[in-house]
Amino acid sequence: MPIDSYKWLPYSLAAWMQKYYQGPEEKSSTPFTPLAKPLSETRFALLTTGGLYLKEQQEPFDVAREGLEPEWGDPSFRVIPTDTLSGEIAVAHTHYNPVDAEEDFNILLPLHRFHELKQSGEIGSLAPSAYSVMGYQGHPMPDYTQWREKYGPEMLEQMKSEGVEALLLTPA
Amino acid sequence: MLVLARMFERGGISTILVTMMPTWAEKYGVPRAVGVEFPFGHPLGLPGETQLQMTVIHDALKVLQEATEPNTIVHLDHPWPGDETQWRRQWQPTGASPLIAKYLDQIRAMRPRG
Repeated sequence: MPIDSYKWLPYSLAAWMQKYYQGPEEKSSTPFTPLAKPLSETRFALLTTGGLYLKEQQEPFDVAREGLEPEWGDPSFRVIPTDTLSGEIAVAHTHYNPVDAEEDFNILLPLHRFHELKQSGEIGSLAPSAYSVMGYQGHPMPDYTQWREKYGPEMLEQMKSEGVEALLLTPA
Repeated sequence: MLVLARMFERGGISTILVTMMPTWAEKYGVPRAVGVEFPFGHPLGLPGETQLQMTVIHDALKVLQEATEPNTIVHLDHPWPGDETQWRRQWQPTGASPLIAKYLDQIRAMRPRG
């Protein structure tokens, strides 16, 4: 049975989003790169849009500017080393409650689960860098210019330099 | 996120998305996705619930491995392991986001009349 994408939203907010949200429609041209190898030989990276950053080492996403400009969202990204330990991650994202993600970042960036998959031989390996962005990129049409022209290509280049073949994406 | 998935896929990386909004993925297009009926901020479940986290990851990897064409979107039926009424509030930020605060009147106007 199809799941309800609006289940957890208040009625008025769900109706508002359905009326006003504009997504980046490209369905007819969705690309496809077949998985080249079995999972057990594939090198993975992880990416979340949960607004995660390394506590005390990285700048939080700019939610202060978003406070002044509600139709703007910080397009930058953070590299999260895959050996990051519990307690080293904080969250800057104004659109969900980050308490659980700060308690266990694996619900949004499952680094520890992927180390276990590597240990058990289910995946080939996990690249040293994972990636975090803050998913809110503006309203009513998100502005993806910086993702498309700058930050996306930068992340892709780093993934390529680390031999990444497959990517798990986990939005907030 | 759909934009990033398509960009990396186009760049030669096989991507799999775990989303709470499969309806958007279906409308706007994504190489591969699994949908979970979980509250926002919780695509893989609850803190410390490693078994559920791993179950969703295994489901995602299966779709990554088996999909043969773009816009392959599979709905997963794992029930949310929390109280529904409580969680309709619990995932939400403690204060309204700047966007919601700004558009509150417009949002409230969406309530059915009567």
